[in-house]
Order: sequence, then C-alpha cells, then structure tokens
Amino acid sequence: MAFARFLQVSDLHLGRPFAWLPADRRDDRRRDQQRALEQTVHQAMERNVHAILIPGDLFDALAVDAATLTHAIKTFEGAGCPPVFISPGNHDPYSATSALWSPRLLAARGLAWPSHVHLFDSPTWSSRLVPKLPGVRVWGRAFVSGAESLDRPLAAELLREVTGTDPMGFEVALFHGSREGQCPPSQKMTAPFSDAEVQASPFVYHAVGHYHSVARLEQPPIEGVRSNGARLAYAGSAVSLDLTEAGVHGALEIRIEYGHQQPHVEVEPIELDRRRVGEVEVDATGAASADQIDRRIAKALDFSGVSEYDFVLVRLLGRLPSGVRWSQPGPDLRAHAFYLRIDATNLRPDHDFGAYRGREARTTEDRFAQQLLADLDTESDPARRELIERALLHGLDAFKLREVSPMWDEVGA
Amino acid sequence: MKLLRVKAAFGTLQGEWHFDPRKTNLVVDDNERGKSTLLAAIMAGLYGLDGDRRTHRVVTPLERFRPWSGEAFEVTIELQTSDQRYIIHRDFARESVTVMDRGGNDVTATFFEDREYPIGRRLLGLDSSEFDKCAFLRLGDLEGVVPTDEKARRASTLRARLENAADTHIGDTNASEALRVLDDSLRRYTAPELEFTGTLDNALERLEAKRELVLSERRTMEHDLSQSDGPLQRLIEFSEEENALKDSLRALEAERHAGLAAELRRQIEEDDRSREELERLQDEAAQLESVAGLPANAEAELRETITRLEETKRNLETQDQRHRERVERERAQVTSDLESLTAYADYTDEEAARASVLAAEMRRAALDDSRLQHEVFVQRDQLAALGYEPERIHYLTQRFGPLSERQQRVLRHQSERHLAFQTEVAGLEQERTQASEALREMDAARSARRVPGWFALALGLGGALAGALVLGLNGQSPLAVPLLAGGGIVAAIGAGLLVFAAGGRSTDREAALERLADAQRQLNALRTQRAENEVALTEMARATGQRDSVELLRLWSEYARMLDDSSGFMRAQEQLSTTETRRRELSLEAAPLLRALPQSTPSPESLETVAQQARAATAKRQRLVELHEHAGLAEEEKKVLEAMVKGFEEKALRILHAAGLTFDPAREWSAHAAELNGRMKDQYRRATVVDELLPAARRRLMPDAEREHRLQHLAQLEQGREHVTSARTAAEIDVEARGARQRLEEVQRFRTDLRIEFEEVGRRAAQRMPETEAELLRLDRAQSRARRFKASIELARDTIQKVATDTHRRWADFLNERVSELLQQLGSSVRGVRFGEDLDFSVQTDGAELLPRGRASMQLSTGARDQLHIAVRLAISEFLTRGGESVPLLIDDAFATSDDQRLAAGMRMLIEGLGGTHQVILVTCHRGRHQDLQRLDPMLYNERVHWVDLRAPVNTRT
Repeated sequence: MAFARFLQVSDLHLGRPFAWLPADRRDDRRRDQQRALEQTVHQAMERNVHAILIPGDLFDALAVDAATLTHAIKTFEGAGCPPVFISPGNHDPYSATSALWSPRLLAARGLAWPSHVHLFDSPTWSSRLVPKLPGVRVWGRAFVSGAESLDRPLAAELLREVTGTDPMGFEVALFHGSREGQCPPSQKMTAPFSDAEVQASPFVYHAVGHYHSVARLEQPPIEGVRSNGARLAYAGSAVSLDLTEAGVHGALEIRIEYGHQQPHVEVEPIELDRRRVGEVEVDATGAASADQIDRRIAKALDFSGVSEYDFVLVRLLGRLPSGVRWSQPGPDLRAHAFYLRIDATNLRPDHDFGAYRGREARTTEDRFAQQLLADLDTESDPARRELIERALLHGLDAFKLREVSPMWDEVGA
Repeated sequence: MKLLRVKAAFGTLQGEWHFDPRKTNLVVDDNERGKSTLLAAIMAGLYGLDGDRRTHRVVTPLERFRPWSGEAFEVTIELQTSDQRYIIHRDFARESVTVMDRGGNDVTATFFEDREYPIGRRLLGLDSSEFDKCAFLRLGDLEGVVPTDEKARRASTLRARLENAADTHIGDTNASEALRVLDDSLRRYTAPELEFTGTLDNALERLEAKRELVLSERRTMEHDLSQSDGPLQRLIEFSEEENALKDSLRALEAERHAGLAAELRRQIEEDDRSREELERLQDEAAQLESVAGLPANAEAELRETITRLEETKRNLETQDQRHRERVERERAQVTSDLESLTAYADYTDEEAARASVLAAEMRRAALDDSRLQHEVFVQRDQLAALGYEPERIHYLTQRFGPLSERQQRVLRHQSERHLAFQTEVAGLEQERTQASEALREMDAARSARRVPGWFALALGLGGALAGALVLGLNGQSPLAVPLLAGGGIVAAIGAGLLVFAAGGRSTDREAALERLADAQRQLNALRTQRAENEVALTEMARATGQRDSVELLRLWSEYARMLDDSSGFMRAQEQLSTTETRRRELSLEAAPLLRALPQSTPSPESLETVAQQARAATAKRQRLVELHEHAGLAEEEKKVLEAMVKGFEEKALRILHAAGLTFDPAREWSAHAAELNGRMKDQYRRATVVDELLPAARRRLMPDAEREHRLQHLAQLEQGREHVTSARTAAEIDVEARGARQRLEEVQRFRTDLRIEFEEVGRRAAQRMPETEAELLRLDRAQSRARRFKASIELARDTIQKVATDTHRRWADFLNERVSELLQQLGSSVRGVRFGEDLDFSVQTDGAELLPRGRASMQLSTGARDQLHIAVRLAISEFLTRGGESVPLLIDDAFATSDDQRLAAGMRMLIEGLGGTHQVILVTCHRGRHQDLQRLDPMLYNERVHWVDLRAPVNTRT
C-alpha cells in the first residue's frame, strides 16, 4: 500500500477587479486572494503533499497586473514548495503570447515560473510524472481560448492519448470543465463532461476546476472503474468571489491509497477564506422609521452570527407603513460586516389592497387602485406584473403621501 | 349657511343689519354708501383681513378698511349653519377673534388652524380665494374664476375642488393633485449617481452619456491592453539583445582574463629579473665595502694640499730675492730726500708742532681782528643813530670816568635810596599815627569807667557825711550808723571803681607809647642819613664841576644811560685791542722758529712750511732706520715658508694613509692623487649602489605576498584553459567591453522603461477597470431604476387619467346642464356651454356651433356675457355645495348691465331658483328698478324678498 497526497486548489481568480465591492474594500479582497495562495503553499508544505494541483483559473484574466503575477510566481518560488501542476482554464487560457504563461514574455518582464511548476500548455492530454511518486502521472489539458468550449475532455476519442499506465502507479486528471447537470446558474457551461464519462475514464482521480462551490463525485467500489471514493472533485473558488458564493471556500487535500487493490481516494476540505458570505432576511413590517429598520437589521445580523469579516446580503421583506421611507443603511450598520448589501426590492408599503378590492369605488383613488389590481390579476407576464405593481404603489403614494420616489424601482441584488 | 345679522364698524360702514335666512336679501342704497363694503365686511368676518405687505404692496385690505375716524374696527356676524348657530366677532384693531355658539360657549379654539381663524373654510370647506370665486359675484370677474390661460386654470384649486366635489367622499388627494405629484416626480427626479435633480428624461440622457463615457474609458483601457502586445514584443527583442550583449561581455571578460594572465606572467618575469639585479648589486656593494670608510673629500683635500705644498715651495724660492731689491730701492730714495731737507735737520718734533700751533693761532688772530674791527664800526654807527655824539661821550667819560668806585656806587644808588627813604618815612608816620590813636582810645575808655566810681564815691561820702551829721546832730545811732556805714561802703566801692578804671589796659598803653617812641626815633635817623647824603652829593658836584647835586645826578643819569647803550661798542673795542696785543705776541714767538727761512716774516704759511719740512725730515730719518731693520726680517719669512712646506707634506701623507694608500717617494704627488681618485670612484660607485640602485631594485621587487597572490591568481586564470596569449590589448578589450556595456545599459534602460510602461498599462487597467466596472454597474442600475420608475409612473399616470375621466364627467355634466338651465331662466341667447376637463368651456349660441370661450366672449353682447358669467359661477357654487353647507351668494349689482327684461328674469331666477338652496344677498343702487319690479310682481317680492336699507341699519322692511 502506498499513499499519494495532493493539494487541489482552483479558481483563485487572482487579480479579480471586485467591482461590486466599494473601492476601499477591493484591495483588501485581492489581498485575501493572495493570502489564500500563500496559505495553499503553506498547507501543502505542512501536509507534506506530493504536488499541488491547480485545475484552471489561477488568474482572473490574461491581463492581470504585474504585482499579482509577481506575487503568484514568488509564492511558488518559496523554499519547500512541492511540485505544482497547472492546467489553465477559460479565464487564464494558455497561448504563446500569454503574458501569464509564455516564458519569453515572462523573461522579457524579468519573470519566470519556477522549474517545479509544470504548465500544461496543450488542449490535448499530456502527462508528467510526479516526483517522488514512481509511476504516478498527472495528466492535464489546457484551455487555449477564453471562449466557451464544447470539447468533451473525457470523451473516449480524446482519452486515447492517455496510455502507458504504470501498474505500480496511477493516473490523475487535471482539467477545467463543467460537470453536466451541476452547473450553477451564474456560471457558463464549458468543456462539459458527464458522470458516466468520469466513471469510464482511465484516471484514478479527476481534479477539476471551474465551478466555484465544492463538489465531488463519489464512486463506490465497482469492478471496471479505476478507483473508488472520490472520483472527481471541484475545490470551488479558493475565496468567495461574489455574494452568490456562500459556504466554505478553500482547497482540497486529496489522499490516494494505491498498491495491491483498487485505489481509494479521500478528499478533505481546507478552508482558506476567512470571510464568509451570509444572507439574512429582515422583516421590516411596521417599522415606523428608517432608523427602526436599521435597528432590526442590526439585530438580525447579531442574531445570525455575522462577523465584521463577512459579506452579508440582507433581504428586506415586509410592508412599511405608508410614508416610511428607507433608502440605504446608516453608517453604524455598515460596521457590522466587511461588506453589507441590502436588497429592498421585496419591501412594500402597507397598502390594504383587499380593502380596495372589496369596497365600492367612490373616489378616483379607489377606481385607480381597483383598475390596476384588476390588471394585475389578469396579467401573467412577471415583468408586466412587476410594472403594474410599481405603478400601483407610486399612484397610491401620489394619492396618499403626495410624494413619489423611485423607492420601489430598485433592481434586486 | 345663512347670515342672520351683521354689525360692522368697517371702513365707512357703521351700523347693524339683519338678514332673512329664508328670503332673498336686497340691499339697496345709492352709490358710495357702502354696499360693496358690506359684502367685504361679511367676507372679512368669515376669513379675516390680510395685512401682509408682501402680497399687497400698495395698501393691504386691513389698511384699506380701517375707519378713518380711528374708532372701533370690528365686524360681528351672526350666522346659522345646518346644525349650529354662531356669533363671530372680529376686532381688527385688537386683532382678536371670538366665536360663540348657540349656548353662549366660546368655541373660538375649534376654529384655530395654522395660526389663523379661517372660520369660513371650516364652515364651508372653501378657503378665502375659493369663497371669493364661488360666492362673491361681481360683474365681469369670471376671468378670476375660470382663467383664460390654460396653465392658470390648471394651477387653480377650484378645479380640484370640483373634482373633490364630484366624489361623494372627499379624499386626501384628488386625481389632479395625484397627477401633479406624479408629473412632479418625473420633472424633479434625483439621480444620486449623477448628483443631479431634473427631469427624468434629462437624467436618463445624462446617465446614458456618462455610461458612454465610462464605456469609452473602458474601451480605451482595453485597447491599451491589447496594444501592449507591441511593447511586449519589443521587450522580448530587448531581452534577447540583452542576453546577446551579456554573452559578448562574457567573451570579452574571458579575453580580458587571458590578457590579465599574460600581464601577470609578465609582471612575475619582470620581478624575477628584478630579483637577479638586486643580487648582483648586493655583490658589487660587498666588493666595494673596503672604500666605505674613505672620507668623502679625501681627494679634494689631497689635491688642495699638494697644490698648496707646491706653491709654498715656489714662494720659498722667490720671496727673499724680491724683498732685498725693494729695500735697497727705498733706502736710496729716502737718502736723496734727506739731502734736500738739510736746513730742517735740526728741527725737533716739538718745534714742528709748535710751528703748526703758532700758524694756526696767527691765522685765528687775524680772523678775530678783522671781525672785531668790523663790529666796532657797526657799534659806532648804532650809537650815532641813538644820538650819542662822540664829543658828548667823551665829555661824560671824562667827568665820571675818574670817579672812585664808592662815588660811582653812591651815584648809582641815589634813586633807590631816595625811594627807600620815602617808603620808610611813610611807614613810620603811619605807625606813629596808629600809636597816637590807640593812646587816645585808651584814655577815653579810662574816663568812661571812672564815672560810676566817682558817683559811688560821691554818694558814699555824702552818706557818710549825712551819717556823720545825724550822729553829730541827733546822736541817734540807728540812723547815723547805717548812714555812716553805708556811706563808707559806697565810698569804698567808688574808690575801688576808680582804681580799677585807672589800671585798665595799662599794658596796651605802654606798648602804644613804646611804638610811638620807636617810630619817632627811626624818623629822626632817616632824616639824618638823608642830610648826610645830600652833603656828599654836593661835595661830588663840586668836584665834578657841577652846579649842585641835582645837576650832578642828571649828568650821572645821562652817563649811566650812555654806558648802558654803548656797552657793545666798548666791549668790541676792548677785544680789538686785546687781539692786537695777541698778534704781536705770536709774531715774537714765531720768529725763532723761522730760522730755516731767514728772509721770511712770521706768517702762518711760513710757519706751516717749516713745520711740514721739519716733519718730513724726521720721517725720512725714521724710514732709514726701518729699512735697516727690515733687512733682518726676510729670513724669518723663509723659515715660516719651510715650516709650511713640511706641514703640507705631513697632511698629504695623512690623507693617503686614511685612504689606505702608501706614499711612495719615488712617485709624484700627482700619481698618488690619481690613485686616490680611483679609490674615490669606487666609493662613489658603492654609494650609488647602496643608496640608489639597491633601494630602487628593492622597490621594483614585488612583495612576497603579492607575488604569491599573483602566482595564485595566474594559476587560477590558467586553470583549465589553454595558455592563450590575447591578441588584443587590455585597452582594446576595455574599449569594446565599454561599448558593449553601454549598449547593455541602454538596452536594459529601454527594457526597464518599456517594462514600466507595459506594467503601468496593466497596473492602471487593474486599478481602473474595477472602477469602471463598478461605475457601469451603478449606471446600469441607475438607468434601470430610472426607466422602471418612468414606466411605472407613466402607467400610474395613464391609469389615473383614465379613471379620472369619470370624475370629470360628473362635474362637467352637471355644470353643462345647470349653466344651460340658468341661462334659460335668465333668458339668455346662449343656449348652452360645454365644460372641458380643464374647466374651460365652449359656448353654444342660438343656431350656432360651439365656440371657444374667448371667441364667444368677443361675439356676445355685454349683457349676454354677464348673464353667462353669472350662470357659470352660480352653477359652480351649486356644485361645490352639493351635499354640504350651502354657500351664501353675495351678489354685487350683477344685473347692472341688463335690460329690464333680463333684470326681471335674473331676479326671478335668483329668488325662485337659488333662493331655496342658497341665501342670496344682492346689493344694488337701482332702487327704482327693483321697486318697479316689486310693483310688477308684488306677491313674489313681498313674500320672498327682504329689503335692507343701508341708510337705516336695523330698520328693515319686508
């Protein structure tokens, strides 16, 4: 029996702009990314892994700034860093003119990837032996374009190149792609593959990148399949990149037991992101002022355990008394989290639509409300329904409050 | 609402008037009697008076209606509503309002609103301006109610009131206001992303423009990034060139190393040669060590000694011969000279000296003589100038010259003696006078002191005498004895006083007497001496042939003055004679000395000649003696020269010995000197070797450590390399290396600049991209929000407009119908009106089509237009008061322009048509016309009209 250990990290998206964050928070978040990369190397050395596997999107774009690129290179240059295998993804595809990967261009800028960093620069599968692990090879393929790819990396015809398996070792796949049926709505499908293809592939383990949440494909011991345990795993993004990426973010430690019987793969998550993304719902019904709404939000944040390091999306719900206006959180509230976003699109004024529907229309206001409520009832198009609802709210504001503001027209978070 | 009573002190109006709530109230009076003021008072009672100068710049209503008399300024209105009765009292002078209800309760506070008491608004639902438009009818003021201008009509609140009235329930906001609010929200849209507030369309345009701007910036950055491939390619080229240059430099460095190795090798070989040279020089120095102690100047000293030796030898040979020849020549010369001086052979040196002295003295005496003679002449001329004739001088000299010294002294001191006599006599006289004065004073003091003594003595004697008499006569002792005793005592005292006075200052008196006597004695002595002097002078005058002593003293004075003035002359003459005497003595003394010159007279020249020749003869004789003695001295010089020769020889031998040479008498001294010269050259060579060549050779030597270091360096350079001898020099290599290095630095600089430029593009993009992305996100959200807002507002607006049509239809239909009815009742030619949504209306006349209001107003007659306006206003008032409190109609002579028929129709319409629902108060100045109408229809007027005569307040007639 022998053990092989790998540390899989992907989708760091170094150099990401984080435009959705306030200007004074963006740099902090980019430093979080860099810290995550440093932690990756540190964890790899601490856990004594045989190699670091990066299945794509180490960088957010081909044109990252020099500081980010230099930091990545210098981080891998650190003493004791194990071998690193990188297969470029759709965000940082390989090309001979890529400022990220081309040795000539890097040399022109006074940079070079360390010798123990191996880059898969071909869209076809190629392999490289893992030092200190006889017979163990890492197979990788690179994205060579940022465009969505319909190539199926685990298709049988592409895997014909995967040959020469050492009976004393095993093969590991490293690539960027989309597992069919599991693609999150916020991500694009590229280089798709199916679970069946995974099951049939000659690889003992598939280190895949692209999806930003942790996912794995477990395989029970079956004859004809190369391994059992985790056949495939997404490490997810090393740090959460927007408010939709909730949960723990970091890397995976891959432990492969191999030798006399079918290899068994275990996966252990390693948290690298000290910040969490949280979502809190706050009912503002009956709040008599904006300050009261803020207090309710603060109370909800305290109750949900959000810390000042976290990203929080607060969804305001409920019905505000007529005349109560709320546009943005106060400064005290912002101190509760690293970044706080309020979604007030579901907040509505406390109009008694039932009363409007039920009574005889004796005033213009009644007739107006009844007209739009009737339209709303008959309308099936959500966008149109939303428009009618906002028109109703604005009209009633005009009748009741004699003032109208675009409070109900904010786009949702 | 019905007015019951009005009491006013308002403008020119003073009084109280009652109104009938069930009838049409016809207020009749002449012009300028206050009919319109009454209506204004009613309105002021309901709404108050405005005193704000900002809205009424010329005169405010409050000022306009203030009574001129300065008395009370107040209005009291009693009125009745559907459910209550109120008495309103407004005191404008005190600015107070009181409202009492039917039960006498003060309900003023219930009408307080917004710092005012708008009682009319609370009771009728109309504010002041609306009441003015609805209830206050005047001719030709429809424009104020329904403005011609569309915008003014929309701004009017009356339309909103009509809408509210159209609703059975008065809401907070009507459709018009809601639409205005919605329109305002589109007109005053705030886009925080732009910090802009304006119309929503403008905001959208600006958002789009800004979005385009940000997109443009992003495109520029993307372009810059895409263009960075070019600099990157150049970076590669520079990098490759840099590598080539580095290779070239390395090759040059290798070549330079080869050159350096050759140089090291050459240096080591040269050092080897230097070491050999040093050893050779050290050997030579050792060989020349024997001449090390040779004195530095031995050769020079030897040569000098030899030279002097030979010279001394030569002198020794020639000196003696020359000396003898010279002495002989001189002796012959001296002898010859002595022969010429034979006459002076017997002169001694003292004589020669004396002759010289005498010559000098004679020359000096001759000079003194001539000088003194000249001085005598000069002094003589001076005396003559002073008036001294030679004869007079001679005369005086003869008279006084023979006088003895004692006599001359007497004469000389006469003046001093006379002066002393006068002075002493004056002093003595003064002293004598002082002594006499002192005696007199003392005698006077004695006399004064004696007076009490005499008095006491007399008194005592008298007393004693009286006592004695008493005793003698009466024998009574008690009186006599005291008198006697007392008299005796007093007498004794008096005697004592007298004695004391007589003895006072006796010493002083004696001293004064003594001084007086001495002065007198001295005076006497002086006078005696003077007498004797006079006698002596007289005798002397006589002896000198003068008439008396006075003449004598005058001549003596002249003589003495002459002697003083001619003292220089006399002294010169005396010296002249002395000099002459001396010259004679010198001639006598010089004569014996001139024996060698018997023919000559004594003169300084002859004496000097004698002295000179005598000295020459003496010197020649002396020289002969010396020449004789010099002949012996030449031998001594020869001995000296021989000693010198020996000394030089010994010195030369010592020098040779010191140089380590041995004197060989067989050889010349020059041969020894040449031998010493050879030895000196060896010594010089040794000094050169030891002092210069050896140190220089040692300096040229490489230090052992450095030699070792270079050897090691050379070994390192040659290690693993062929023994290459560089074809080029180090300088050539350096030149090429410098060029390559310069190019390398240039390339590196270009590469660095380019890399910085390239990185800067990336850095700027990395820094700015998020900003632009965030900005785009914000702008997109802002645009979406604005568009959504606009769409929802427009939908709300459309919906409100749509549903508001019903409302409009309600009040428009009512007005259309009611105005037509009223016009018909008024008998107007206008058949009907058609109100639009904005309260404007069109007019339809008989047989014609609908005309816009403006055009119809121009076509209608004044009476017909007034009827139309009255009908419109009455209809509006009716509509507004539907279901609420009826508005009293205050009509100010609205039918003034109507003919009798229209007047009658109008009045009937008011009385029958409106009188049932509204209280009508019509003021008019056409009393006669209305009385005619009453006569025509007495029943109507008697039952339905309440006449109010303004001139007779309270008194009314029905």
